[in-house]
Amino acid sequence: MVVSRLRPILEDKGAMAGLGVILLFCLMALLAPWIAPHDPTTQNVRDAFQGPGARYWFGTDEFGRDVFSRVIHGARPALMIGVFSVVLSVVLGMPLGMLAGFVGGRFDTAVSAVVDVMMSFPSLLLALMVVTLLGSAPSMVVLAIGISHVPVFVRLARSSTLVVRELDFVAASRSFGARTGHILRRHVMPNVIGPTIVMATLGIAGAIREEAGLSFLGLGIQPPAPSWGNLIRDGVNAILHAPTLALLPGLVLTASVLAFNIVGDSVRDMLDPHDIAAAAAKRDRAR
Amino acid sequence: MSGLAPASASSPPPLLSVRNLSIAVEGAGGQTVVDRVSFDLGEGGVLGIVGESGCGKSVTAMSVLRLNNPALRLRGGEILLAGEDLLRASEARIRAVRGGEVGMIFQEPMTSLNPVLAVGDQIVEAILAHRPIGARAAREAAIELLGLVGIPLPARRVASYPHQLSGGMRQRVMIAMALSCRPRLLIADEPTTALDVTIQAQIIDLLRRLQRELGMAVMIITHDLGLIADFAADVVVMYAGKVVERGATRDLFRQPLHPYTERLLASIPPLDRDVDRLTTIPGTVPSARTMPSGCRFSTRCPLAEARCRETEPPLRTMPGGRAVACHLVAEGRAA
Repeated sequence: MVVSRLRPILEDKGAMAGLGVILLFCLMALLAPWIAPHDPTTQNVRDAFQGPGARYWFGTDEFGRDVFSRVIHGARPALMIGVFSVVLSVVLGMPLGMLAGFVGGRFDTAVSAVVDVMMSFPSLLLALMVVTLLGSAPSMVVLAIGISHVPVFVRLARSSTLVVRELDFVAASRSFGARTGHILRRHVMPNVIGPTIVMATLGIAGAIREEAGLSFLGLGIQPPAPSWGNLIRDGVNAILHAPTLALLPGLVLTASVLAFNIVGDSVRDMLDPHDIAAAAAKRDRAR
Repeated sequence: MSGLAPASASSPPPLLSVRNLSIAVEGAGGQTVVDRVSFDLGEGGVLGIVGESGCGKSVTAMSVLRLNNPALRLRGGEILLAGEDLLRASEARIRAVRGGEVGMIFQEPMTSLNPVLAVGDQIVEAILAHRPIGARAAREAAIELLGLVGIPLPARRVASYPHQLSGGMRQRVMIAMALSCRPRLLIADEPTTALDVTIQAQIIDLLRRLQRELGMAVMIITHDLGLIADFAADVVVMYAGKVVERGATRDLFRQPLHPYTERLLASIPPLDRDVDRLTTIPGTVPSARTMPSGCRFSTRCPLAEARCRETEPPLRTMPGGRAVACHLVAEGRAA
C-alpha cells in the first residue's frame, strides 16, 4: 500500500534528485562537526581571503575562516528552522482553518479577518516584526517564521474544509450521531492533509529562504555562528575582490530551496486525487 | 398499526408524530418551505411522503434529525418521537437519536460514503458512535450487517472501498450503517432515485424485508408514487410545502381525492397499453414570489374556481381517516 502510493515519486527522476540533495543536506547538518574539515569559527588571519583551493575548498573569509566548513555548519540552522517553523505553522494553522471552515459564522469571520490582515504583509516583514519584538535566538526565529506562515495553512485548510463540509458523507456521518470533532478528524482531515503536506514541503523551502533573509539582515542567526544568510552577507562586503565568498553559499542555499520545491511539486502530483483515482482504477482493472 | 389521524387520548402515542411543522428560510420575509405539516407514523408502520422536487418532503424528513441547512429556521410545530419533542431536545440527546433510535439513508449512495475509508470502517464507526462494544466486536457486527443487507461475501467486502462497489451495493452499505443500532425508525430520503430501475426494485424489496424482520417503522420519501404503492401502508402527498392529502395507500390509489393526487397518479405510465405521450401536470410548482394566496395548486388545477384563488382550503379529515385540503372535495364536487 505504502509502496504503491510512493511509486510515482520513485519513478520521478527530478524528485529523486531533489530527495537526494535534501538527504545530503540532512547528513551535512547531522554530521557537521565530523565532516567539516576545519572549525567553522576558528580565525586564522594569515590565511584570510584565500581563493577556493585544495586546502580551503570554498576559500576563506576576511578572518581566514574556512567557508566550506561554515557552509556545512550553516545547514544546521537552515534545516532546523526550515522544518520546525513549518511544523509550527501547520500545527497552529491547520486545526484553526478546519474549525473556521466547518463551524462558519462569526468564528470564521473573525479568523478570516485576522488571516487577511496577516496576509497583506509580506511574511518576511511579519517575521522581522516578531524577531524585533522577541529577540533573535534560534527558537524565536522559528516562532517568527512559523507565525508568519500560519495564514497560508489556515486558508488552505479552511478552503478544503468548505468543500468537504458540503459533501454527503459528512451529512451521513452526522445522521449516524457523529460529533463535530470526530467528523473533523475522520472525514475532514484526510481531505485536508494532502494539500497541507504539499504546501508544507514548499513551505520548508520558503522558511529556509526566510531564515537566510533574516540572517542576511542581521536579525537571524547571530555571528560568529554560521548561517547561509550571514555567510552571504559577509561575502557581499567583499564581493569585488572575492566573489566566491557570496556566490558559493548562495548556490548552496539555492540548491536546497530548489530541492524542496521540486520534491513538493512531485508530492502534489502524487497526492492529486485524480491521479490516485486513476491509479486505483488501473489496479482494479489489472486484478 | 399506523394511524394517520392525530392519536386520540386512549390509544398509545404514535412512534413519530409531526405536528404543525413550519420551516422557513432565515430572515424576515423568508420563503416558507414547510407549512403546518402534520402526520403520524405508528410503531412498525410504513409511511410514504410523496411530492415533486421542492415540495418540502426532504426538508421535513431532515427536520426529524435536525440535519437541515442552518439557513432553514424552524417557525413552529413539534416532532415527537415516542412523545419526546426532538426539535427541542438537547444537542447530546439528538446525537443519541441520530443513528440510534432513528437511522437515515440518503439519495446519493455514490457520495454518501467517504471515498478514503473502507466501508467496514465506516460501519464500525456508526456502531461505535452508540455502542461501546470494542473494535473487534464492532467489526464482527459490521460483517453481520453487510450479510443482513444482502451483500455477498460480507467478510471480504468489509475491506472494500466505496469505489469498488456499484451504486446498489453502496446503497446497501448505507442501509447497513443506518441499521447498525437497530433503529425503531428508518428514514429513507429518495433511496432509489440515483439507481437503475432494476436496482430500485431490489432496494425496495430489501427495505420491505428488513422492515418486517426487524419490526421497525419506515418513513420513505419519494417522488415516485408507483415505487411505494405496495410498500407504504399510508401516504402523505405534499405540494409546495403543504400536505394536500393523506390516507391509506390503497384508498388513495383507488380513489384519489385531491386534484393534485389525481394528476400525480394519472402521470404514472400505464403498463397495459401503449401511450404516445406521457400524461403530465401542466405548469410548475409556484415559487415563493408567485405563490398564490388561495390554494397553492390553483394555478395548475383544471377545476380551480375563483374561490380557490382567494382562500386557502384547510386540511379536512374525511371519514376513514383520510384528509384532504380542497374546497371542492369538501363539498363533494370533485373526485
